[in-house]
Amino acid sequence: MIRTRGDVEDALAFERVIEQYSGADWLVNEIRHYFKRTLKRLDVTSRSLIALIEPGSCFAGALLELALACDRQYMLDGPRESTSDNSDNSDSSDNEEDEPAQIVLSASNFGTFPMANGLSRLGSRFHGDDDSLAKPRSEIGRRIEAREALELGLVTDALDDIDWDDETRITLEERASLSPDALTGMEANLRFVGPETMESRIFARLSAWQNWIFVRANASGPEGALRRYGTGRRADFDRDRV
Amino acid sequence: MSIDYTEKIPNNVDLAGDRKLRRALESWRPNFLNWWKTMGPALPCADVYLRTAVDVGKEGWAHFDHVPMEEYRWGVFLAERNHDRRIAFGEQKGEPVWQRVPGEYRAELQRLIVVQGDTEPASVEQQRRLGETAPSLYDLRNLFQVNVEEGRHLWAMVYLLHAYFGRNGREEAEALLRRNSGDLDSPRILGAFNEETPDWLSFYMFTYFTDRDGKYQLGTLEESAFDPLSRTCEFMLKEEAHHMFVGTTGIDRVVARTAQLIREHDTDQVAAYGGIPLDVIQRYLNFHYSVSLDLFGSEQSTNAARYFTAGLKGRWQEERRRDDHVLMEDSAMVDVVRDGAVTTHEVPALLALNHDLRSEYISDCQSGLKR
Ligand SMILES: [Fe+2]
Ligand SMILES: [Fe+2]
Repeated sequence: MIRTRGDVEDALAFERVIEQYSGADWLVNEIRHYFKRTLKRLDVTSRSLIALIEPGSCFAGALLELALACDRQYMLDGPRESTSDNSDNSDSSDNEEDEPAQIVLSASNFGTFPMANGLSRLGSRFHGDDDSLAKPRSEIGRRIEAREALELGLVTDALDDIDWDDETRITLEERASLSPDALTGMEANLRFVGPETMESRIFARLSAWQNWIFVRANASGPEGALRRYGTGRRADFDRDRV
Repeated sequence: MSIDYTEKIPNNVDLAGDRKLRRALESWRPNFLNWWKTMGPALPCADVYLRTAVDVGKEGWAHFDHVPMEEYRWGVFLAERNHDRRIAFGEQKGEPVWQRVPGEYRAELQRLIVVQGDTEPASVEQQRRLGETAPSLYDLRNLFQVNVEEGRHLWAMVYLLHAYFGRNGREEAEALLRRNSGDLDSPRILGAFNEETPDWLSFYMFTYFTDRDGKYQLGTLEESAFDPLSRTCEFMLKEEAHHMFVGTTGIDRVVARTAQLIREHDTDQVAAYGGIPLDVIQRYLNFHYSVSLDLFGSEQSTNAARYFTAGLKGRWQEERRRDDHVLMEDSAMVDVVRDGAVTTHEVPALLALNHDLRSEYISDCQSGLKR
């Protein structure tokens, strides 16, 4: 699960500094590359990655890439209200969490941090659909709330605070109950679309994944899904993701 | 917990303290009332007093009181919670029951609840015009009683969808009001609930055979490891008993009258004397028995096996059965047609659970037939 915490403006300010000096200053340049590699590591991680975008988070520009590297993004729609309703009057505090969750796009989301396939994460997400990719580009710099993020296809779902806890819990449990190998295969498939590069040949070979899933014990072992199929018994999975 | 009647929606699930549930149910309620107005009983029904649940005591016994139909208030009632309850069957046998839906089984549990929930309003729709031809005030009251309780059973299933299945559950709860019995575009899910109930003999047969199917389905869900579902079904079963009583005594009276006329006039052609001939009764029975049997699904089912293994749906009277309640090693005999003849065939017990439930149902029907 990936969360951020902080001020959106701060995140964008840091990003501007890095952009401004990365040509001239070796340290700033290293930081930029290091962040690019970190994101690439996420792309090839054999874990389900889920971003929770809540009030008080700072998924903006380069940090928004963290969310876009995830398999799913859940965004809280509207403010977080108190969970108990003993008091009907809204206790107004100057808490930053009174502001609804927001994300902000910047140039960083359109090619600064390419994936192994040479595309940006949004480019992979909207591969072959130039119209959908053009829309978020025209929203650069604007604060985008949950509904709009959902309409733009930037998040998987926008949930209000009444549903938030339950839906996210169930989603995580549901996902965790599936075959870990099948998930690894599915996620690798969905993460790397489009052109093959030397890098993606090494890190994202999909044809190999398929065969690998079927020969694993989770599929063809005595307690695997294929052997148990049709018996009414549940497959026993080794839950380690490799 | 006693039922709180001060709320708009009488309940014993602490609706007042549950913002999420209250919002969902209160926004669903007008749609339900609208559905009841357009798809519920067609006959205006002042002066018909109906029993309504007012309390749930220990052992899940419901206490009833009587109110006029317009004052009937649908609500949410669960049988009392047993804090020590444990899963009685399947792979997780012996573990504590679940108070919320495990993500792993969300889709399957939701499907089971939606299918059960879909039958409840369906029968109200099927029976909506029967009030116009009620043979007596007694029968009319029984009809409305059954109708409001099926309406309440819908509430019970909607409660589960709202309280435990999030947004998806709310969408399914809306859809329960959008499908309609016999509708060509959006029919009810199960076949028997799209058939017509055009006359009172059909109604008696329906309450005898199809409500009895309901009893067995509820019985298997009552065993569920998902405790709120279990407690809901336990309470519904109390009301279901009356529905079957309506069927049994209805058919009793029709058959008794036919027999009396046969004796009086020494002929089985009793139609001319205002009786229903035995062969007509037989045909009604054949029809309703067959469509009700179809509700049990195919004899061999891997779905039923998975529901059992996962603890979602048990067998009829699971806890009274003397076996290991896991059934990994057991086998069962099911009927199959081979080379044009009916023979039996041995299969793993887990795969024959629909057959098992249907057999229980058949022997229950058999005892009514004998009478
Ligand atoms: Fe019912
Ligand atoms: Fe019923």
